[in-house]
Amino acid sequence: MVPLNVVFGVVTALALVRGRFRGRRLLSGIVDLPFAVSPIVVGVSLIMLWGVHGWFGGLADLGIQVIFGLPGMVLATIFVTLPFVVREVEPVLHEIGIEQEQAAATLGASGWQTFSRITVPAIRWGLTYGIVLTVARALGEFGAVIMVSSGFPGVSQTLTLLVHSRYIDDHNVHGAYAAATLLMFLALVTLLLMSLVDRRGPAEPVAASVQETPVRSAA
Amino acid sequence: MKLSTGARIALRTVALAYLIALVAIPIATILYRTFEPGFGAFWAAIPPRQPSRH
Repeated sequence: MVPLNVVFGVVTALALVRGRFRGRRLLSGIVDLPFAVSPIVVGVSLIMLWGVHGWFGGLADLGIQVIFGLPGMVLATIFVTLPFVVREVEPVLHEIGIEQEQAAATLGASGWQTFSRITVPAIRWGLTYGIVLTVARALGEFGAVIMVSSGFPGVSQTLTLLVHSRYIDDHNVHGAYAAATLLMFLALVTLLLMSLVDRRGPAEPVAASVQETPVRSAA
Repeated sequence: MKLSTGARIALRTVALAYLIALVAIPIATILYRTFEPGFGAFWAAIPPRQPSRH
């Protein structure tokens, strides 16, 4: 789910910033839709689409249960977390411009080399922040997930749903507090891990060595 | 923009009070409630129990 969002996010951000094609505005608007649409609407529409009587309801006959199962929850989470990576990477791409990539291309780097050696290190901060936001939202998403989940503890209940069901259904107030604290703690750990990973990464040396190579060979 | 010392301190106070009231206090409350009965009780309350039959 997160890797999927990362791949889609980076590709879409590149398309939105670098591309000049018809429908760019439309794409940008569609990417923003999950921000504008209330998550519970997403839940309802997913049930309409994937539920037994929905358009893709035939899957249930094949034994694949989407709604009230894990696939439905994944679909809902992907929908609500879709814009984060795009919107975080986009301004960074604007900022760095294309000079370095053009330089890499003139020095004989392939498209993939340019991307992995120049573009990815440059957008890493935006990417990290987008991932952190995605994970946080995926952990905390409530509205869309509660519609499509069956809410069995340990089977199809997220921690967020557990907080809700303990508080509302079980009247287990302290249990709800404990689960809420655990949820907060997990989000915090994610944030710390991501910033650790980011600090250790080899972004600076790689970018520097790529830039220095032509100077050395010329001398 | 140059602000007088009084205005600067007033602005900082407003910003801090805003953050404390809207972010810090709710989180602190739930943390306090969680750990009020002790860490052991918190740890014991985490795993989901079998749903009780009312």
